Amino acid sequence: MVLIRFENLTKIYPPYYKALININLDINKGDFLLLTGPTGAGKTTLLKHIYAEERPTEGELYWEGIPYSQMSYSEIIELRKKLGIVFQDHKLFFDLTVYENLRISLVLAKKVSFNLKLKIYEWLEKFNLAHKARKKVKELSGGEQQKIGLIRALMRDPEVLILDEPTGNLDPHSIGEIIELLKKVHQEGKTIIISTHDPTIISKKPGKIVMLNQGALVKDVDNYW
Amino acid sequence: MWITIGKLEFKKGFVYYFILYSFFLFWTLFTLFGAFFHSNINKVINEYFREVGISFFIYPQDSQKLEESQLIKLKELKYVKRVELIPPKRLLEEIQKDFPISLDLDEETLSSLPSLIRVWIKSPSQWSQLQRDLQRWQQFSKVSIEILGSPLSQPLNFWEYLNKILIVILFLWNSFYFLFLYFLNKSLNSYLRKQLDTFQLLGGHVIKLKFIRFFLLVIPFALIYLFSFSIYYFLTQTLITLFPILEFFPNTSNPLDIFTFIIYFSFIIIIYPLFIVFISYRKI
Repeated sequence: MVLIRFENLTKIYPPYYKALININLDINKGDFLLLTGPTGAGKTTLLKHIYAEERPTEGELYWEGIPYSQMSYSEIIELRKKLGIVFQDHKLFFDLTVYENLRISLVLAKKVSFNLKLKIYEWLEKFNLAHKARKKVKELSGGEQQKIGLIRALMRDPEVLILDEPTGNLDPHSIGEIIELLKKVHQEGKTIIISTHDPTIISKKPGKIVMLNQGALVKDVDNYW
Repeated sequence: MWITIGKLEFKKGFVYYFILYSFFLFWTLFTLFGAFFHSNINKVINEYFREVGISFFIYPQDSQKLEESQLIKLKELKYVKRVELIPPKRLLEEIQKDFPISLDLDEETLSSLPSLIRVWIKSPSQWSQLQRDLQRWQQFSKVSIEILGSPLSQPLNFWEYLNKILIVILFLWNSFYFLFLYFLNKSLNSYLRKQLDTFQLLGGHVIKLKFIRFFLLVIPFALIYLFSFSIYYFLTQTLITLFPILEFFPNTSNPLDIFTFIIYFSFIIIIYPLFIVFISYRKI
């Protein structure tokens, strides 16, 4: 079943920079999609359209057959509650503690349970970060912040997991662990979309590869390399 | 969640909130004292006018009837509170009380003497209107009017003029408050833009941010207002003790004062912040 559909989607930033050109792409429920391509190819812009941070200049984007252009602001907010997003720049609340960051994300996604605190600490423990729970995010290293971003996205138990360059600040060992974790999440039936140009991830080919180059989809990915 | 977001907003935007609260404290203190002095100057002048009234001689050219009709016309004027006519005979008698001279005038001479009319108007601001009306009557009736120098006419005219200017100043002063609030709120939004965007991208509705901002404005504003009102109350009570002619503003026995005060209170503490917060957020 098609979950997200890009239909002739073009994004132009003023005055005339074409970030995405005529994108036609279907993402099915349960897909594991690797979005790759060189820097500036339009990967992040494409992801931003999924969580409606950007709106297309031309074309349309559908969520379960419903066009984004016909969704109200409240409907977009509801849609975002179903997503778990790892942002390239982490987008954490730097003045809050790790625990507060995770808690607020769960509250906003309406995923609050009576054992919320325990759940947060369990997730932190998985990434060996439980001892940092009361630390402010701004006191953490880049790699730790990236892991917190990932935990935040995973904890929401989202329908779709969107990861924008999730391994930029991580060592190869941590990358391997994260890929294994993502595979496990995928086996639970979640849809995963990763934007990356990290060769470690691409070489493991955990899913379908889609490539972007200068804003356009590359049709023959295998021959591109 | 509300506390966490509130904490986040307040901690990050502390400098902006501090500027805003300090500004509000001074603005509201200045406004209260402005209102106090304005209402008291008006009160003093009104009292003075109520006591003194305006006197003028009216010289009839044919008969007593004219004076009476003049009196009726004066009484009909909306802004005139009371009119008193002192005919020539009584006027002479009163003069004779003060001066031990005996004047024995015949009827003919007596009828050519002027009558004294004293008029009490409702407000000093209507003094110039009375002057204009008297001049008009002089032109259309067969009388000559001699105003016996209006008490403090120049300061009164100035005050009347100043009252009009004060309305303009009041408007500008209010606009200044509104614009300051608006631009500081805008700057705060720009400063917190990243976290406001993140909040929405995680599935938070902008209305929650608006509520938090609104309460971060309204509750401290109300508390600051209470504080500045206490300072104002203490200082004005001291002034009233020193100068008993002064009166506290708002005067609880005057419905207009109370009404003005409620309107002022609701606008600066509730309506302006509400309006500004609800128009200034960016939805993503």
